[in-house]
Amino acid sequence: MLMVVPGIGTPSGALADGALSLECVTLAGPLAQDGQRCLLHRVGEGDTQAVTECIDRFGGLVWSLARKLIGNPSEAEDAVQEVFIALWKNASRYTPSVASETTFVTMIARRGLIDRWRKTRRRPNGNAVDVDDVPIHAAADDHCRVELAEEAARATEAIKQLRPEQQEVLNLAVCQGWSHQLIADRLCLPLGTVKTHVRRGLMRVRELLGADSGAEAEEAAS
Amino acid sequence: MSGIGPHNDDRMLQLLADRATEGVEGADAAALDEWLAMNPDIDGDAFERAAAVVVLTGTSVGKEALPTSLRGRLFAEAEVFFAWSKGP
Repeated sequence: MLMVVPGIGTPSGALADGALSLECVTLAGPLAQDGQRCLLHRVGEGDTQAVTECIDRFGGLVWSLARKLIGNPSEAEDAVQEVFIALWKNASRYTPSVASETTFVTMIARRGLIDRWRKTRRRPNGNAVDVDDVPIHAAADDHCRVELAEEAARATEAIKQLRPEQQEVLNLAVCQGWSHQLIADRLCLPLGTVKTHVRRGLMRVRELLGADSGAEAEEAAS
Repeated sequence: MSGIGPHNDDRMLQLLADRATEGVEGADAAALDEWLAMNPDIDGDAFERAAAVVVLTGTSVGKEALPTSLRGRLFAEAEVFFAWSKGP
């Protein structure tokens, strides 16, 4: 049997027909080499100044995400509070070499908001327009804005390389928060096709972003 | 049945994608946790991180500043949380 997990099976990249590569989700790359202590690690230690900075730097981002994905302002406020508690609990797990702090915070926030969907059985239904669709950069502070701009540019390039139907499905599933079933119904696609587009789209983004990270790491090392 | 193989890997990758977009629970969540525990070289957050970066393209997230009252609630919560974390 042909194995597909690099480091466990046969040569990396060798795939059985129809199998999906796991390389896009394997841990890779050296740990961060700069000695600077990042904001989230200081938050993890309970540094008061860092916690204040964290709320001011990421509060607008988390609030925007909650308003977009939860809608109701009162529920969104509760959700933001839950997200920040989750962030404080997980701050020490942040690994600078794997993602920016903004990406990490966004990941924790989305995780919390998705958990909330599952608990309340309520999620965007494709009818309501909760907030204006404008760049989040405008809601961020200067430090966050620069970081966001860099990541957004990389992500935009990665997304451009996806097929149009993958882009559409990924946007609806990730940015609009639609369920796979709702996307299938609205786009008249089989549910399995929607799931495949989501999976392959995320894999492709991950691969493309990973490739960029690798190039940057090589450049920094040279 | 758990294990490493193309079909199980495909299913688990789908579950990772599901988790990043819809969340997973019950038997699916347990199967995914077991698979990740058996495969420590797999980055279980990879798809969630990719989804986060997609969101950060800025095409669909609103422009809103954190409300002042909510900012106050967060600071009050932080005070309790970190005081509790530090212990007596």
